Amino acid sequence: MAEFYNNLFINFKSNYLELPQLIQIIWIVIVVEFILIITAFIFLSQIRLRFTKNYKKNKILKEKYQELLINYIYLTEEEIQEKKTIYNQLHTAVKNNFDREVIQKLILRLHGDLSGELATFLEELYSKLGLIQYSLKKMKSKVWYIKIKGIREVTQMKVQGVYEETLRLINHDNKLLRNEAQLTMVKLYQFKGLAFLDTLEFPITEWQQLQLIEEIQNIRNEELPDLTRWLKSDNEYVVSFALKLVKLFNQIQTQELLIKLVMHRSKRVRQNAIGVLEYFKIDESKTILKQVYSKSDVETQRYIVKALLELANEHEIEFFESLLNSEDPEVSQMALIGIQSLKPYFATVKLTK
Amino acid sequence: MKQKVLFAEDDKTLSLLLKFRLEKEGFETYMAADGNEAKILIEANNPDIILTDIMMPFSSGLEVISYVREELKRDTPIVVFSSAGQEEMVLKAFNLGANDFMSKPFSPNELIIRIKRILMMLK
Repeated sequence: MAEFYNNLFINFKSNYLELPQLIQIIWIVIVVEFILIITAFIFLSQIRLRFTKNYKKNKILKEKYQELLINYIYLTEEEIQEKKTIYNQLHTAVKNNFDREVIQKLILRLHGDLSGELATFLEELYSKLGLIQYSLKKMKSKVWYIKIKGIREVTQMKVQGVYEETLRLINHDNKLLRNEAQLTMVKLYQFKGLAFLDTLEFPITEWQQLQLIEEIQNIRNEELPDLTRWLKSDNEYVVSFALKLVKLFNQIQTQELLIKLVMHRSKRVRQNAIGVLEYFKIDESKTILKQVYSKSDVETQRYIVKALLELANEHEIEFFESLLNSEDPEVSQMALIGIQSLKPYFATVKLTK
Repeated sequence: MKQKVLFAEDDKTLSLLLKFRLEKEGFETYMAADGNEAKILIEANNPDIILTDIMMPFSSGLEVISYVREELKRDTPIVVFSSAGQEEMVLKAFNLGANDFMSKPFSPNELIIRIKRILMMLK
């Protein structure tokens, strides 16, 4: 048999060597590609097999632990021995990575659907099983999306004691991670968490500001911190956000600063400040608004005239009249409305002309 | 005789948790993992009250409500569960004939109170 294979090999070799060089190279390429395809096929099959195995294992463990978990939740204080046995089973299981992931997901998912006593019970169980440590470990991971996973877990389970750790992520290079850390600060530490605004070096998008405000509106029984430090921030986005908070919480006592912000270097801040002055109807801002009008860009000029429409009295008629010939039709139209509201006869004459 | 509750929810853990709780409260429970299963169980068992999630595989909670009201012509009370951001779906559910709704996350204690109150009002 060995001789047969030996002869076959020698025949193949001599035939191969007789072939032209180009054909020899093509043969080599074919063989190498064939080997690569087979290797890739084996590799992918192994991966698929592993996924299927893990999926099945996950399903079995999920069934097992969800039953244990529900039993544990509904066992009464009289059934303490049984409760202890289940707890020990879960406690041992979390030491295994695969089992822990399943238990963690089950608790988090269930917690997401529940409120009240049961939600608190699950938060306590999460802590008692030591799952917090694993969430914190995720927060310390080098991979940004694992960090986000960790942050979300500690936020959902209302884990305290992550203030410093979260604050460190506020100026992370990854935008999604930064946003998540900001939301966590507010969700877990309410107004105290807003301290991240002191150190924030990056912009806060409008959408993120809306999300933060949504969380802030849920804060109950806490005293609002002094917003002036953020109105003076070097980060224009922080100032804009603080302006939104000023409006939301009617912090009219900040009016002096608000008036100063009309001259802020950032157009966004200037426009937002004008909007807040208009909202609070701060009479004292009229002079400065009229002063900065000519130095402002077209968009900001519209903000100014719109604000003055709310604040105007007979002293602004002259100013409005000066705008009637403005190159911007929106401004001249608003000026006319202003005059009409203050001096209806004059406006009618202008309009008929 | 035990009152029958049908609970349609695709999250098995939540289903199991509520099954335990409802049975503890003395109800007979029927659990459906999707809208199609819910329709079959409703037709076969005629529950006293239906609790259904809005988003489910195969047939949504809205389809279940429509099936009960339009095809089976039954006025069984229906409570829908919705997640945040599904306000429009809730309005549709009410238009189709749902009697009450609870938004997730919800308290099982509150759910039990609501079920008992609805069933008591029907007596």
